Amino acid sequence: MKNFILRRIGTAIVMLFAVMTIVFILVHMMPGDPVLQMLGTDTNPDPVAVESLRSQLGLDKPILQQYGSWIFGALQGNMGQSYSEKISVMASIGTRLPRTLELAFVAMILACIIGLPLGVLSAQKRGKISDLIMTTGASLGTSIPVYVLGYLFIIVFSLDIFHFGFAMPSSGYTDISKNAGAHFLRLILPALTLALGIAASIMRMTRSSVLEALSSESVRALRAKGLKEHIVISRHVVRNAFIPVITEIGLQMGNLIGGTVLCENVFNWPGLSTLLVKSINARDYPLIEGCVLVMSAIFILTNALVDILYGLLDPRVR
Amino acid sequence: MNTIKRCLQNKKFVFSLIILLPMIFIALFGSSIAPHDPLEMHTTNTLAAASVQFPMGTDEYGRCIFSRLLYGIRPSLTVSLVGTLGAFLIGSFCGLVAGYIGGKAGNAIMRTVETILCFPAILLAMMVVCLFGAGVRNLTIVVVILYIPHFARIANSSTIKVKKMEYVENDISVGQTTPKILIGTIFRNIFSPLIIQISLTISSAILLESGLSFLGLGVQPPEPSWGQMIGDAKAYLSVNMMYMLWPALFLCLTILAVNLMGDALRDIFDPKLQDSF
Amino acid sequence: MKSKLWVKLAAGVLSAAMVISMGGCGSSTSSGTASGAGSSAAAANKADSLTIGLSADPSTLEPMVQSGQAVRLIKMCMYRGLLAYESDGSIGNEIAESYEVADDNVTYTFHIRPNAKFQDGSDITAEDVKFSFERQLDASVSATFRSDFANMLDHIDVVDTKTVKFVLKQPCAPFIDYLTLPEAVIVSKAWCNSHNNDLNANPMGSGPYTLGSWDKGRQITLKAFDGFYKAGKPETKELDFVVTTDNTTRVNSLKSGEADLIDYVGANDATALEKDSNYTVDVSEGPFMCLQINCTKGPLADPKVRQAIAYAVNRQGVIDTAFMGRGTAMYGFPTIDGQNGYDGKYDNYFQYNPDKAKELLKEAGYANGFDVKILSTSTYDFHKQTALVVQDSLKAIGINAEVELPDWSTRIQRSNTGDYDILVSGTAGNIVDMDWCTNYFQSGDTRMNSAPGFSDATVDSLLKQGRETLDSTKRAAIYDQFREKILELSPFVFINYREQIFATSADVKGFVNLPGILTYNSGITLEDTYKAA
Repeated sequence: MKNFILRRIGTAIVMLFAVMTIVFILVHMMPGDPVLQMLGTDTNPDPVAVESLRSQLGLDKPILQQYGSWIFGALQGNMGQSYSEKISVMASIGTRLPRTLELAFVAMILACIIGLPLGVLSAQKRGKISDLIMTTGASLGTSIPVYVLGYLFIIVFSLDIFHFGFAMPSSGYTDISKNAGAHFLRLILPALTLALGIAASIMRMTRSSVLEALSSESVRALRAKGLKEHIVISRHVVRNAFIPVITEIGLQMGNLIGGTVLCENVFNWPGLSTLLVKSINARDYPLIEGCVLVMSAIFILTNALVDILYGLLDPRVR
Repeated sequence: MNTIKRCLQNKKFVFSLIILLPMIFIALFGSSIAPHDPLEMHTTNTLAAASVQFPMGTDEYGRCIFSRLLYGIRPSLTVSLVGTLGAFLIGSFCGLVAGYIGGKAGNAIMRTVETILCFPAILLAMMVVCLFGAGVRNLTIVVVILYIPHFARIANSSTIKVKKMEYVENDISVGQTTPKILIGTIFRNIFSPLIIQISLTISSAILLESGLSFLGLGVQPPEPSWGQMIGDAKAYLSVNMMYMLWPALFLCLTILAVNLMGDALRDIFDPKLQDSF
Repeated sequence: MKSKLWVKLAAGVLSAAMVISMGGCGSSTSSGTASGAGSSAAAANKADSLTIGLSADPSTLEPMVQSGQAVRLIKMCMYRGLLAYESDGSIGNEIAESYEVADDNVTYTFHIRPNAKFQDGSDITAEDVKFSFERQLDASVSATFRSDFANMLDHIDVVDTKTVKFVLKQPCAPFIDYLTLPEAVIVSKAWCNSHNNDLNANPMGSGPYTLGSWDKGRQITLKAFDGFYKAGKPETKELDFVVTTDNTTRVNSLKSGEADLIDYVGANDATALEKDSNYTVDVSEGPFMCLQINCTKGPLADPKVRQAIAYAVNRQGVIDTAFMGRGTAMYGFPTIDGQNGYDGKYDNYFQYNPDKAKELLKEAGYANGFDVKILSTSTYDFHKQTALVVQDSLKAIGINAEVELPDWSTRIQRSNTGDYDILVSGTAGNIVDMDWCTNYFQSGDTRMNSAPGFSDATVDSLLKQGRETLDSTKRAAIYDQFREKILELSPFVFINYREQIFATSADVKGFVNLPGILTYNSGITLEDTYKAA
């Protein structure tokens, strides 16, 4: 078991390095000069100032040296200074990251709360009308793009077309310390938008794996032995069905992170994805590298955790 | 023939076909149905409501939304179909080769290919677009790159499995040449999981292309694409809601149909998970 | 037993999540008044703080760098120069109490206000003024108007503690105008020397507000400076600039009461807000949209072709599409009313006439049109929309244009190096005096605001004369000739004036959106702005 965990962590670290290298290469191949960007966009830049800034930022050094110093620094937690925000990359990311994590975390929880029970329910009610409704809903859920769903929510709840009598805020962000109520009010719609698509996938996977477990040989044997139905379900079906569901949740992590990019755009949630888009537009190399690195690291880490969890539950995998 | 009969008996398959066939028809013949040139501006009549002249109204440039809708499916379908085909061909090839060679070399190939999976799709796509520019051609390339690992994995694991099975060993003992074994036997066996992955990839690719176009990183104006139309429409939600809702509806229907098709194919080719409806 | 545990866990998570996510619903009625600005408890007749929804996140607070119009709002609160434009469009005294121009027309003597202090308590002296302008010329500061001041200034003399003398290289009519730029600030010599000359990390000026705190990407808080040289100003103790880059969000923040004032209001939102008596919408028409044309080679090198484009562009179409019908079409040269004695004689030099355009193309030898690329950006909707309408206009006369929409950063880099055929540009000129044209139309290296490859000896000579002539009647005549020449050669095709719009809630008083291009200097009225509580 320990070997398995170590191996899995080792793989994760290798993947992390691969990501860092690819990001560095891609970012430095991007057109657009950050030095010109920094000097103010409405001026004709003075060549002297351009060169002095370039050497200040270390952009005139050979590319391998830049790579080396970045990797070295990143490992120590120092990802350099953001060009556009003039503070350290860690500080920039530090303010945004919790917001995205909060959004993703709440969305994932909502997705599980909605998806898991519905999946089990529809498996039990297989063939009936309620199952048909639920699976159709799930199909719809995986088919609606995040931003379409987001705007549908905005139309219904913010533009108040059905005249519910109140309008939810459609965008913006309030610090939780300033006004917790307003903060959570603004969290609901984006989290729900992100959650529904993932809930649909979870529901479908839960349903099919529960069905599979229900009809598996071991369960049939247990039934034949005369074991009570609810024990069969609770002890064996759920345990075995849970494993592919966990894999599915792990797979959805990618969708979750990708979904935050669109979700934060629609609802103007000032999180990490918004920072990433802004830094790409500003050609802020250190910030782009930092953001992509952090997001990919989270992705790789959660995948590793899911794999380990999977290994814990299913000894065959080890 | 048996397969076709099974397909037509599957309700999901038929339902998705009912949606997809008109979409394909629109993609091919949209230019003949469209009442206006999708690029033609009527700047004196911007953001108009639906009328006889403009069945779905006009956008902020006074262009006919209905006509743009009919043309707007093409980029999505092009990117997703061509991209999936590319990913399928290249990915399957990599996976087959890696699986057949096996051992450390095969492993190395697979690990390299799988580094692409370390990135959430949209991040990689955004960076590539910033690097090489937007547009249908680059988006197709992005789709190919992003989905190679999925096909490679399937091809690889199936190849390994089949390699161990008896009749391949029989083939080897009979003395058939290597490429024939590779392509003939193994490929026939991994057909069904690949088919399913193809439909999954197509729907993911449509989502990716429309998402990127929504962000302005996809199909470039003035050519229309559904995702791009939704993105343009968001500034005018309170003025003309239907500007956003029409392309949104068509986009969702198409993705739904592709997903249903994928489900149907899974039912047909992987009977373990068959549903009663 | 294990399953019951799972169920319990699930139930626990479910209820916890419900509490977390629904926690806000109960207080939904109070969330509208979330910001502190409306707290009526303490304020007698004025609110203690104002919240301003800002369209852009400042990249730097270095005052001598022009880094965006939104940032100028903040800059003018923190820093001041010798002179500034007032809300009625006239030039008023800031740090300078008075000034004289000697008969040689190159010596300007400024007298500094006796009570003018920096925010660290030190007096503003002539040494600081001299230091500030030498700092403008310092390459490491990258001041935006470095080359302009370098061209004008010969040297600066300190006469006594409160008197400073500027000596110019030659007579320069618009010199005073350049001193009113929000970037022509006076900073403390002692402070800069002891803080590594880094005013971004250690801001300190002489304006009515000091920097309280800066939460990057979110909010900048300014606090009133008690020692400000104008008694009784500023009116409001604290200004909170909340960065809200998305247009819809910014307007929503005004509507929900979180923001008291917002900048860069889009056309469609402005129309809606104007109908609501709860809000005041302040509109100035100053900046303009235009096409900068690369005159280096090909069909575009021929003035006839450029004139053809000027006739072909559907200006009203641009206004209707990109600006929702708000704005004025420009068929002549961009001018503020009465600028340098202009009476509008060239305002209808062009009209919308595709047939005439085709004729001109034929005369130039391009009866079958040609291919061309239009550079714009995807970052700003109105830039993109202008480009598409222009593309459509050119199509109608046989010119096949492809629109390129990179993001703003790439677009800036390309426009700075002249890497385009036709560029969509939204600009204003930097000073009120017609001398703003020097930066745009003088021949020389390619710059952000110039038409690449454009070089005309008559234009150059007219610009030089205009700058060095002091008699206003003569200058008016010179600039009339200049305008006609530029329209004839059309290195730029001028499209329309666009509106710069601010909106406030109705109880906010004192803020003025300055007229014309001075709209970008509106930050000066923030010292007068207060909210009736």
